[in-house]
Amino acid sequence: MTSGDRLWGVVILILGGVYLFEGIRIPPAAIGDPLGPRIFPTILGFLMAACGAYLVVRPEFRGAQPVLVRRSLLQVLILFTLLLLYAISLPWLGYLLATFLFMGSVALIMGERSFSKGLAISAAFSSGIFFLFTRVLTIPLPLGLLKILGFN
Amino acid sequence: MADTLQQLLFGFTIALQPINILYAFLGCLVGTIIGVLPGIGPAGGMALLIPLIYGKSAASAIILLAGIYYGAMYGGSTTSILLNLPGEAASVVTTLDGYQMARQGRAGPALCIAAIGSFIAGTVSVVFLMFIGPPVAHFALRFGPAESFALMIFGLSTVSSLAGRSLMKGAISTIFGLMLATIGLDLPTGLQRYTFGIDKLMEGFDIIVAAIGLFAVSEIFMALEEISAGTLERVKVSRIWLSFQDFLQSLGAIVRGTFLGFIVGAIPGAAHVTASFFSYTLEKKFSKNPENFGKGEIRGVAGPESANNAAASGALLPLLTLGLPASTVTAVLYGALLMVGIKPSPFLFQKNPDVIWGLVASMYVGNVMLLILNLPLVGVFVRILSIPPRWLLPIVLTISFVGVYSVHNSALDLILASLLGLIGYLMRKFDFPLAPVILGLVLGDLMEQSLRQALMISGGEVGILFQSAIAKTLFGLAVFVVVAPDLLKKLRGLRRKEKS
Repeated sequence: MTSGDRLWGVVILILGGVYLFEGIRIPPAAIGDPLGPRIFPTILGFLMAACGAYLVVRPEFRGAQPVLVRRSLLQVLILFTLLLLYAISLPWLGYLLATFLFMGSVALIMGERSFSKGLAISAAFSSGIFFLFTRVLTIPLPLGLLKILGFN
Repeated sequence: MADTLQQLLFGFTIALQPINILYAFLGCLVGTIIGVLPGIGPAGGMALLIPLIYGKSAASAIILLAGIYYGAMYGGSTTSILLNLPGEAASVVTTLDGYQMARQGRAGPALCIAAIGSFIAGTVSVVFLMFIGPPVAHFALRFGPAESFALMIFGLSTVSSLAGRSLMKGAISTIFGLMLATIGLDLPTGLQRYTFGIDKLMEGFDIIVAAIGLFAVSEIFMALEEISAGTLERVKVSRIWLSFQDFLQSLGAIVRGTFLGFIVGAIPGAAHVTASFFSYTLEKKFSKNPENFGKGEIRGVAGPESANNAAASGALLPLLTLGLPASTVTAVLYGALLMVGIKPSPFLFQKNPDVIWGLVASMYVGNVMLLILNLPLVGVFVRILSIPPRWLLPIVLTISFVGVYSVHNSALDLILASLLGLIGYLMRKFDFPLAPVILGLVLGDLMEQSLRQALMISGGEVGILFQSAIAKTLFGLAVFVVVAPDLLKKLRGLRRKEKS
């Protein structure tokens, strides 16, 4: 499937081009070495664009390329969305609650059928990690809603 | 020689005091835990425990902190092997073959060889530290900006040419890593680059965020796909202990990794990550069947793990012999020395023999301790794999994410890790190797700084990069590793033609 590589070539060419364009636009510094911050990005952007162009012209043929299956791609995207939701909700839901919900729903996607078992394991795990980090290692984790309830 | 041995005996009288044995044990234990947990690296772990050293004797304090340091180097391999989750940047390389071994049911031997390799490298490199320390430190000091730049070009070219199946895709991965490294504040000038107005990006792209995203998160995407296709099978553990044959096979890799790691570790800035990458590529290059690498080759675990631990001793070298911290970890140690009232200087060995020789002796003690601590744990760790995937995977995700979050206490890092997970998934699908991205990210900053420093020294003259013998050799080697595979193929083709 050479078309896969060709498509990647285009993506990489664009990535390199945009990066190069942004690199050239880095303003000259008032102090230190004026052109310094621009040199390295310019080289990188140029090389990346060149690699992309090469892939477009000479895509590497390799028998049966692994292809993206629509069904699995959909699942990957669902999990990705869950990860983003977790990241965004973490600061205000607090570590305990957000992690509890997150772990439970990931296990559900991964094929867990028993609801009560899911509940128990996510509860045990999220509170275990919370205790290990905040109490044993004294690394703070966001309290979120718990703070309103008066815990600290 | 006799003098050194006498000094070492004196060191043991300090290291074997019950209180110091206790500190060494505590350091090793905490270090192992920190190494296993992703996110908090050795430097962060040591910094966390600095309050504990207030009011301790200088020798005890330094023994405790050094224990954390090499304990973390041991522990980092565990999750890399079991879960494809690198605990710290240096164990990224271990995932390549270690995780494959685990999937074939050989997690036990992989963990054993990592522990034994680390033990041998740790112990032997302390001997190096004592006897050939000063000359190596002086050699390392000859690495100016131009030489460092050449070294990094060499490192990146070996990794691009050997990590994947295609040189072009390896190069693309490497450049992608270097690009990620340029995101953030440009320190010499204070300019923001590629931050797109997001303030949090000024701090730059953390290596742990990238390593966890690219390796662990993408691994979970891959596993999810296998679950939905119904092809994911639980790993069957075939054996827990290492066979003698496995050990013999790995011994050469361990010895080479130890030498290489110690020297690379002593070079300022290059550090453990480079050492383990170099060892991996060396093993692959000189192996009779390089195609086994990346598919569960035990030498691909033994070499890098040894190099990584030998580099930990090597990195202490500039600090102990010259009084200069050459890496983040040794900078924390430097600070700790100051706190307990010792000014690091080239005269540490003469002025504070109790601290230095106590430390050196405690490294022997600590290495034995780590081996005793880690080998029995192999059986426990291997059992983790018998957790059904539908629970193991969410647990791995949660632990990785708490690690990522704890780096900067920032939810943005979680988003970045998820994004890189998706990118990593696509890269795997289309045969782009992941490891060069990490090495590019690790070296990018340093590479750019050394390039700019060199150009500033010469006033913009590019020739400075190729002046010294060291730089010329390294550039030559870099070209060689890129061209060699093709040349070899052509030579073999010619020979075949002659025969027929």
